[in-house]
Amino acid sequence: MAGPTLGTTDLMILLVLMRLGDEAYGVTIAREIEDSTRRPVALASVYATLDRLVERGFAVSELGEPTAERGGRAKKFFRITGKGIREVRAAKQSFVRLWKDLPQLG
Amino acid sequence: MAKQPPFGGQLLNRLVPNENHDALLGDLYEEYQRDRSVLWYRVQILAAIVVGSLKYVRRHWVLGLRAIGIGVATFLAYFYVVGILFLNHTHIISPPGLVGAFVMAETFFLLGFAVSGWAVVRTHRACGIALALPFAGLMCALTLSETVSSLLMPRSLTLWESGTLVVKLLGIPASIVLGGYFATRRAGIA
Repeated sequence: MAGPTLGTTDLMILLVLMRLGDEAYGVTIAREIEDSTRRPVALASVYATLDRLVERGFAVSELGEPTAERGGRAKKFFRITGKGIREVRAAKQSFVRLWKDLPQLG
Repeated sequence: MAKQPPFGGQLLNRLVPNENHDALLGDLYEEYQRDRSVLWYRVQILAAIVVGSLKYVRRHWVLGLRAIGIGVATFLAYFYVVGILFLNHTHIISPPGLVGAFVMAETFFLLGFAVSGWAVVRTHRACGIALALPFAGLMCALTLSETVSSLLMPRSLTLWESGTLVVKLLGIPASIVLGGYFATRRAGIA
């Protein structure tokens, strides 16, 4: 089986999708990333990565209902697919293999 | 409920083709209602324009090459036609001093870039401003390479040359984008 093909941002967003479950849309995803990295995130970059993940079949999207608190605009919800979960698992295994037996990393 | 800062949404819809704009603008509105500043909102819109355009160019790189070709051809045509007219009438337009000559020359060039930007976007109207970016990038790269080659000579840049470089590096992309803006459709991308 070929190794994982995910970049760091892709992997981070897939993990966030798994954590957020049904509540994953632009704002919540960006907040989660900002909280964990302590760096500001451009929402457009989040959407660019999400689009790429959807194209590669690692995530799917679904439009919600328009609400007044969003100026009458709908939320776009994202969910990780089975293929996405397998890819995250493969990435984890690769990282763990590389991590092992490195005294510098404790 | 605070109103959304004006023009952001219209500008984004006008300049960049993307199916996510509605959800993105909704997210920005939601965050702006929470505790974000107008500056944050404007930076996010700018980021969306840049990210969306780059993404579009990566996907349609052949169109990007064509856009560069159209931009260069338009600039050369402008340079040739307007330049000859300009040279034939220098006795009428005689700028006062060195600064006047500099301002006139830079205006001539930047106007040419604006016309080229307009032509690039006008011939790729469905792509918004996206395809003006590779042309702007190439022109900036050429300007920088010219500077780098002059730096390889055994002398440093004079203050005058440094000033000219800054004007060009800021002015070229700004002129191309401004020219392109006038070629986009008012009601949004087709």
